[in-house]
Amino acid sequence: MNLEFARGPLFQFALIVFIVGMTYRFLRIIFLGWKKDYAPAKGSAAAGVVKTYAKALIILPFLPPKFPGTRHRPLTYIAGGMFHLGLLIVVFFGAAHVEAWRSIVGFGWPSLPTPIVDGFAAMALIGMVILVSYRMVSPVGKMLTGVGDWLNWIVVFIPLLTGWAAFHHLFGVNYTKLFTLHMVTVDILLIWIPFSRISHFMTYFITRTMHGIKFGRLGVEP
Amino acid sequence: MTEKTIYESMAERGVSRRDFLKLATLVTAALGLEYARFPEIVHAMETKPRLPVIWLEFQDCAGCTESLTRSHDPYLTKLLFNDISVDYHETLFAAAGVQAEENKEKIMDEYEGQFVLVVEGSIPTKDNGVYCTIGGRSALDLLEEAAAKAMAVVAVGTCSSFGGLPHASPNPTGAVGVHELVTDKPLINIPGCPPIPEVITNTIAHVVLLGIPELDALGRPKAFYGQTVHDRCPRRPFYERGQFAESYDDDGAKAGWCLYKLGCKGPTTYSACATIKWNEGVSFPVQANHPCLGCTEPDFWDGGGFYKSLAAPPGAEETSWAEKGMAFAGGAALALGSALYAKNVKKNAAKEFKAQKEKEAEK
Amino acid sequence: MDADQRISQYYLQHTDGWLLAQLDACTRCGICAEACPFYLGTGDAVHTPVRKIEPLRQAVQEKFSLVGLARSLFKKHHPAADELSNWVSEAYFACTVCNRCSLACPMGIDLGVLIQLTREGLAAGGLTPPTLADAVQRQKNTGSPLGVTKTLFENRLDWLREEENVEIPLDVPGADSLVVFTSIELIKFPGNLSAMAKVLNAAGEPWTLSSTGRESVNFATFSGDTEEQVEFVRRITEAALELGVQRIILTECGHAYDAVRRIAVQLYGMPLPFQVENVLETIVRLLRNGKIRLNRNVFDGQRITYHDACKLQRLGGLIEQPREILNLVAPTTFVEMTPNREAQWCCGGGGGVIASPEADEIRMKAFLPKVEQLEKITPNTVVTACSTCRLQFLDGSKYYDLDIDVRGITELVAAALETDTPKGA
Repeated sequence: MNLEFARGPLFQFALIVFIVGMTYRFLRIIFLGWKKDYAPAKGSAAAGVVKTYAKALIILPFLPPKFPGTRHRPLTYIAGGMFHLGLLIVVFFGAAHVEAWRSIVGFGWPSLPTPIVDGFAAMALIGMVILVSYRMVSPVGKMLTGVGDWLNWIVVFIPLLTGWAAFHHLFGVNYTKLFTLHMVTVDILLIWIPFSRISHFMTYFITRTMHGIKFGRLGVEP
Repeated sequence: MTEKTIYESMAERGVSRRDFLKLATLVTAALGLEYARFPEIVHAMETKPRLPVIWLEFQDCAGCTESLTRSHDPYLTKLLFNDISVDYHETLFAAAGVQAEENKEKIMDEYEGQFVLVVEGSIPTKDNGVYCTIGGRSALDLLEEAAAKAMAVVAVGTCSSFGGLPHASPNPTGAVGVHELVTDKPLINIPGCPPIPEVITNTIAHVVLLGIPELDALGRPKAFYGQTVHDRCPRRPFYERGQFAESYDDDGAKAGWCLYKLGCKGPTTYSACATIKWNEGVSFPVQANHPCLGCTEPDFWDGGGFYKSLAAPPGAEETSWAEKGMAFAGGAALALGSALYAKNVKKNAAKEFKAQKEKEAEK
Repeated sequence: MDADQRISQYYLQHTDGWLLAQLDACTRCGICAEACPFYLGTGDAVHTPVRKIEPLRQAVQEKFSLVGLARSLFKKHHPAADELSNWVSEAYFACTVCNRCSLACPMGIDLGVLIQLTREGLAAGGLTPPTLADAVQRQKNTGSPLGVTKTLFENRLDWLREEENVEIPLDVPGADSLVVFTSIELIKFPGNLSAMAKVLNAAGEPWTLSSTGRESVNFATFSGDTEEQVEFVRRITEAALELGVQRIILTECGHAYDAVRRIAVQLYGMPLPFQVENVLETIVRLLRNGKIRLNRNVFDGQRITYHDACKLQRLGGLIEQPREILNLVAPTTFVEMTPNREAQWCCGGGGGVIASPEADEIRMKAFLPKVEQLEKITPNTVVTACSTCRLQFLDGSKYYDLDIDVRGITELVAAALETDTPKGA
């Protein structure tokens, strides 16, 4: 396995599989359709959608859990937020990744200064460690976690770690080897996503919107 | 061309012992050795005979030779040309034709097992190697003959080390580096397009005086190929801070920021460019505001593009929008198929369920 | 056909894009557990909400996912027959379908609806818990899960009219509203009926009960028997059409409001031939129109709090109405529990749980978050608008030795009625 193969043909293959898989997963839901909610609306569905996204994406990840139901263990919620935010900043605003996106979608955008991205990367890694510990230690976590969940964690953690290590030449490992490892694990991740629960980042927008519509129509805070 | 030692031949030319020792000191330093090894160099020059060097050129541009002749190090160059005998060099020699070839054969036979074979340029293998012939004989043939008789082989330049430009896709001549053809002799690769002149002279001198130097996994002397350009790059602090030039004439470029986004292959390129530099240590590509091409690495021509960042995967570049569209369509078709299958499963389940209910109602 | 096959087929029939999206979105994070009173009250991870939908998830995965299809080559049919009693227990005894987990889920998955669907599948497989199944049968045959026949109903009304000296019209055609009570109120909390009568009579709003549409409780909602569920609602709506009323008023019952609204639309399409109103909305309407006036000092010196019944607030949106009422009737003595409104803790008795003796122990444990809430504000009265909640609070306060009164909101309003003010003022 050399770097050129991992960045070249293997990456192309992984990208194609990713596009095919995610399209399949998304459109399958759309094509199967669903029943309309016929109960008379008491509130605005649109307002519900706006509110739920504002709470879930913009406000909640940065504040202690709004929903008091999670008072007993805000750790999962906060660690999850740390991981997701860190990952998003690294993947979309890390200098190296902006160049990668330029290749994939044809255009780029300004990147963030490296020390800032480093902070978010560290946050994401720490978040992931907390989350996997939760799955190992908490009774609910232990009960819910299966083989697929362990694999999902590994398949996401290793690219994150190797990418950061490669960019900063850490651990005294040869850069080319680390970079190759990063690319190979990223390729594996891309292929793995459509066939695993990691695709929840796509289904999220469906369920969250449905949630906002339903509770908006009911007049309940989503 | 004799069994005289290097010292003896120098003394014959009138070099005093004092001057000889001075030269030996400078050679020691030039070879990058610690001063404690100075007696080793003196001893080598006193006892080793002048070894012949045969320099063959195949599919090359002679750039490596051009680089060699720009060496600013007078000591090693002198050593090489006066005291080590380069007995065949296509570009540098005035002699030509049948006599030159015959002379080469004579040297190779007389000093069989003792001469150093230097190869510049890649060797075409397709169609029996017909794409490079010298005096009617293919490069393939010439290399085989010379290498069999040599003591050691030194591949100067990326072409002879890894195939270089001729080897780049689609490689119509089937060009390969020396290492794919010569497997039974000590082989040193000095890649670069061209290599730094001091690296060439240094390495050859080392071979002659002290034997084969320590090599890395790709057969390159660790002394010069042990670190990447990135490791010693003066623009490294900008990389660490994330200050990258976005185009060649923007403020960042003018301020000397890192060229990572403009395609610099420094991080993956093992070479001494950032330390020894070029033209008597004046500059090197990055310092001159041009990204490193990665020319000491195999397949650097096919690595995605000189002006495409290392972070930009060639696999993505090569996937056209048509291909992406087809992938999307493929996914949609699969989804449709899956939905139809699911609807069928649902229908069957409903039918069976209803039939069962009716059966129970009858009971 | 075996139960497990029937159940699986039920789930498959109902698999659509919505269900696939819901099941796909779950990342097994377990945050739903933190919102479930059954998990928190028992500390047992088996009551995690997402685990309650396991049979549904397994059946769908087996047929509609690549992993499932591959597995089905080796392993037999999902859900496994020997695990079914476990799932029945989780879905019917360890869950009130309160939907609190739906609000906690970071992915926005509608767990409550999924659990309801799970129940429906189990019911289709004939695995409804016996007490619930019996109640459904009784409701089918006698019109009420408690067995309150037409005769019993009419007798009870006669008794109440005399006892409380209040007018209760029955089967009056052309009235404005058809009021439908639960047989639980009729038997256990008859004060609700007389209170409602007093309020509506004071407001001067022509209303009636119906002897055929006399039951708003819908035990088929609890059991998951979809056909009977529709049938029980139809009894109400047909009575409403027959009597020619403008609106149906549902009294203190959690699930009836959502069930009647949703199923009425299925039966009659939009727009509905009548309005569907809950008593909370009725009281607010009468207050805003000035049809009734309330004394603001009746409850001085008390400490009243309000329990948001899950089905009324999370499934009905009736959140601010009780507060409007209570702020009027107990302006200085009304205190909120924390959390409240849509984040209110479920009492642990709804969704048919209180009707199953198998769940007696666990529903007391599920009441623990409520105990914590109450101990923080130490009220002397808890007001609610759902009869099941009321029963659960009564049981719970006895079990935990809490010194509190449990009252229905209609009774509170009736007690505060200013009867000497002219109507319409």
